[in-house]
Amino acid sequence: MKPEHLLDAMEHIAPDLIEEAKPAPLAPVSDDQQDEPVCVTGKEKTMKPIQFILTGVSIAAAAAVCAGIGVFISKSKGANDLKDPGDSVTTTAVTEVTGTNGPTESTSIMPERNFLGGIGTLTFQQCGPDTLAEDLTAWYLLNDITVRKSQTNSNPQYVKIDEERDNDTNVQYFADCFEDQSNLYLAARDNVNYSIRLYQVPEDGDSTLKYELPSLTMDYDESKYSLVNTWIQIRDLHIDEEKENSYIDILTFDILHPNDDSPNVTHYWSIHQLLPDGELQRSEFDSKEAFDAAVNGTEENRTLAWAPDYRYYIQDGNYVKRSWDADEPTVYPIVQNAEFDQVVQTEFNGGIYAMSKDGKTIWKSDMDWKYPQVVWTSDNPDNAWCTGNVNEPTDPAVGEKLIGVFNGKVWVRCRHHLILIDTGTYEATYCYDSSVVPLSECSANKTEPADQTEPDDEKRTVAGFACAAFGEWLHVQCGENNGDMNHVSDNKNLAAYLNYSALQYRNQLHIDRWYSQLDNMNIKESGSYQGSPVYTVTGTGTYKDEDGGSGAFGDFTFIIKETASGYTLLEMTHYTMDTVDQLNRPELQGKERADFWDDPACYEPLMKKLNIRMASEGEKISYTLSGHICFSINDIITEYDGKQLSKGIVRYELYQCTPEIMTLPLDICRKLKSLPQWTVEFKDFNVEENMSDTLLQKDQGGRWWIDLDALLTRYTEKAIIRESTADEYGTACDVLDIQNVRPGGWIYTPDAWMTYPDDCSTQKEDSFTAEFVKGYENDYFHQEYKCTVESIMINRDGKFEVLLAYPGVYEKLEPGKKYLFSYDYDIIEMAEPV
Amino acid sequence: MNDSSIIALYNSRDEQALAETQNRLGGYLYTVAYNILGSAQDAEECVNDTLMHLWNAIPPNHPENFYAYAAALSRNLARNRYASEHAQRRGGDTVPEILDELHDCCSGENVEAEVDAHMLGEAVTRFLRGIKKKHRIIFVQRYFYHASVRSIAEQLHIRESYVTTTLTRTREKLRTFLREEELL
Repeated sequence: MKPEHLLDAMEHIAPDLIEEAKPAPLAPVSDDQQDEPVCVTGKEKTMKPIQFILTGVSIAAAAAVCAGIGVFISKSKGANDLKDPGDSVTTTAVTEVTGTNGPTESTSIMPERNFLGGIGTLTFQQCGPDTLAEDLTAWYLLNDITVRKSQTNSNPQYVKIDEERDNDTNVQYFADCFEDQSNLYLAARDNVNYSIRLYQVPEDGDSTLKYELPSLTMDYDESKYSLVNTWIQIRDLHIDEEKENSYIDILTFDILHPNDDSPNVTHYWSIHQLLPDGELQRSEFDSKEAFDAAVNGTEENRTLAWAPDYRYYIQDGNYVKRSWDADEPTVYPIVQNAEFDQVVQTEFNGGIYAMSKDGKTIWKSDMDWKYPQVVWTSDNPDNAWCTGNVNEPTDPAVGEKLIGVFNGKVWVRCRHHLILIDTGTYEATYCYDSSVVPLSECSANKTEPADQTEPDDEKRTVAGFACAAFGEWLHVQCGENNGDMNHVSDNKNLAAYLNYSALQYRNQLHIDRWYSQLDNMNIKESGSYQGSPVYTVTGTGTYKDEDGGSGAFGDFTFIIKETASGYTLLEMTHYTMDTVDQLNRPELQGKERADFWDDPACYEPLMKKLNIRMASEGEKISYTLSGHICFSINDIITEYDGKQLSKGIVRYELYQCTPEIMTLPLDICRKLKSLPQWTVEFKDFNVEENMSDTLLQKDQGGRWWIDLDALLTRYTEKAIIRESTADEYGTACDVLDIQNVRPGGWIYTPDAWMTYPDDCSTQKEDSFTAEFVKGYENDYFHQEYKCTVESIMINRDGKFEVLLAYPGVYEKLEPGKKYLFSYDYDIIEMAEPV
Repeated sequence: MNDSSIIALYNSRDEQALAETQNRLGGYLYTVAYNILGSAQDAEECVNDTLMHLWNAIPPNHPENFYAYAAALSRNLARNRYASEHAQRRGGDTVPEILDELHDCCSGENVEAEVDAHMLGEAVTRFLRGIKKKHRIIFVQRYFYHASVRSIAEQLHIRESYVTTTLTRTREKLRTFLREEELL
């Protein structure tokens, strides 16, 4: 057969397949049509095209000023044609930049939020991490113009946006979304001319096209460059019926490739601001550093607040308002030699709070510091009790850190207390020792500690105090120094969770050892995980033996993700104790296999080692997951302490449930092991109903057993056994088929992807060498980092769990840690520890 | 106007059928032709030819899927035009490189064997129904619509290397499939 035959045969494939792959239609063009660039130099005014639709009113925008040299504006961009007479836009200089190799730092392109761009077919993206943390409600962007609002996977809400446009010849994709208090805004990108349409989607109601912006990609010389990719992110948005209060900030990132195949890939970062008066102002940056500095400031002048025209920060003792001009920033010191050095911002235009350098005064003011008011001062006799040390009441009340404004309160940390100042009444609430009183139960009593119990001075000495803001919540850790136990509490269970984790970890180390203290705790946000913030908690700890001995167990690190319902421990590291040695308990010696499960002394250490538990008597193991469950077998233990177990232990993870444990007969374990991949998914399966009879049984010891054999037999027809070879390609090499790697929080590889050997079949499934390449779209800038992938397992639907062995292939890809790779859309995340 | 209404116009010999077809499908038919011919003028002529063929074919034909029918017709006419005129490679002309690619899955013991196009098309259909939708779309866009790798990547928001990789693997799988079907 010749290729021509196959090409002929394609004509006869099923019509639905032809229609399914319908391409974006091209508009007929003349062969003679050329896209000659027009170079505008100097300060000539250039009318640029823009059409605004704001609450149904077309706004005439201002005239444009191109102030740069070598400004190239392409005639071929259809969106750049004026829609209405008089419409125009002000733009800053667009300076042609060539020869830039682009960023070399493996840092996030965009701060604060992950990109949502690149929405393609067959996938969806969560719309912003912020929404998920609130109430498990998330917006998802589908491939066409549909939006789904999912509330814990039930009652999904579908919203059709601008249905008429669905049949338009222009293809549009959602680029980003932004949710304010009452509306969702979707930015849809026209994939032909890159113009942006901004839809407003009320909670209940039809969507409305609010703005139509011209192409937000940079203007470039199309004779020299091709735009190969662009990302768009709504950084900030406020739509008000009073248009002068409306503004939009959009950040974009463009990648240009030279047409002559020279290796001068050019990256542009841009900030587009639609100002209240209708002007679209654009600032473009040819370096990540310049962009970052414009967006957030540098380390020295971190931006405190944004406004449509300005950003605010403190620099060299001055409270500074800086105008929007990337080339020649205009700085207006609002308060020179400011007496404060810590400022937090409420919502924009909601004012700011500042604390004096000595920590004794807190002000509130408008953004421009015209009307400052003292809202708290330690000179007030009512505040005198907020001392630095409960044992020395004469200590002055000193605020150490102005933490933030959450839940209508300004949160201030003293040495041993918290001050919560009501933003409306300025009434201060003091939280006493949080080790005793959870912050959520803080008393409003200003003159007495919330804790009414008589403090034991010896015990009450708080050994450590650390707190940090987690979103809208504040978390405090403090402890007692008598060594009895570690007290950690907060208003959203983080610290309790830390404590719990510490106890769990203690159990892994030795059942008779515990942490007595977590000191020097430091909490900081360190990224995001599946759209939720992730925090790293570091510190040191001490332990106390059952025989009274004690010592330091050294540094620890907890990595925690925040969810709507609490926290999940992602990782905990500890390097100073040997867990294995601690588990070599002499009482296990000589035990027969059959005895193992009859003696808690035998299996409990193992359980603890695995950080799992047995179901207790009467505990009901049931999950109702709306007819859809999936569990992944994470591990199978058939041998312990050198001995073959009579039953295997399977650690599994129910979809959307916490990791659990089940013990299975060994033959079932072997069957499981024989499965190509240990994930079994059941459709239309109600665990509570179906697993409570013969499939899930409890023995005399109160342990639950799952008859997986029967389970598989009964539900084979409904089960989708996901095999590692189930995908069309069938080898672990697929894991390397990662495209469009985007920021995923923990690691960031915007320009990195992996290549793989041509012949995957020669690679062992569980061990092969992958080549991580840091470079750009067309491989011009390969900076090769080779690493060994130690193991790969398909963890869940479409995700690959990769354990990197050696070395650190990328700054933030660390050997010895596992990362998740999604097959289709390629988000890289840190994997849940098994 | 939907497909059924347009076909009804053809059946009633109403020339408005051509205008409606042009309006509804013109862009797509043009895309198919342009991908193959690489010339705007040739592509537009091909679209006109397609409309003419549709006028002549309906009735008696009554395609169940009007879009696919018209697209296949446009593709066929474009390929014929390409073959007859031996057009110079220009712009979106993808035929030579696509033929090169398809060597991957056509090499068999009997290279010269003639295979019934309909039967082969049905086999390819079975194969395509067994692979991921995304990969199927990539494959059909490339080998039915003659779309460039770049345009596929842009439309699907994926990297070009992903398209290339997917095509390579899909061709390998197709080759295996065709061997199993004893068509190679």
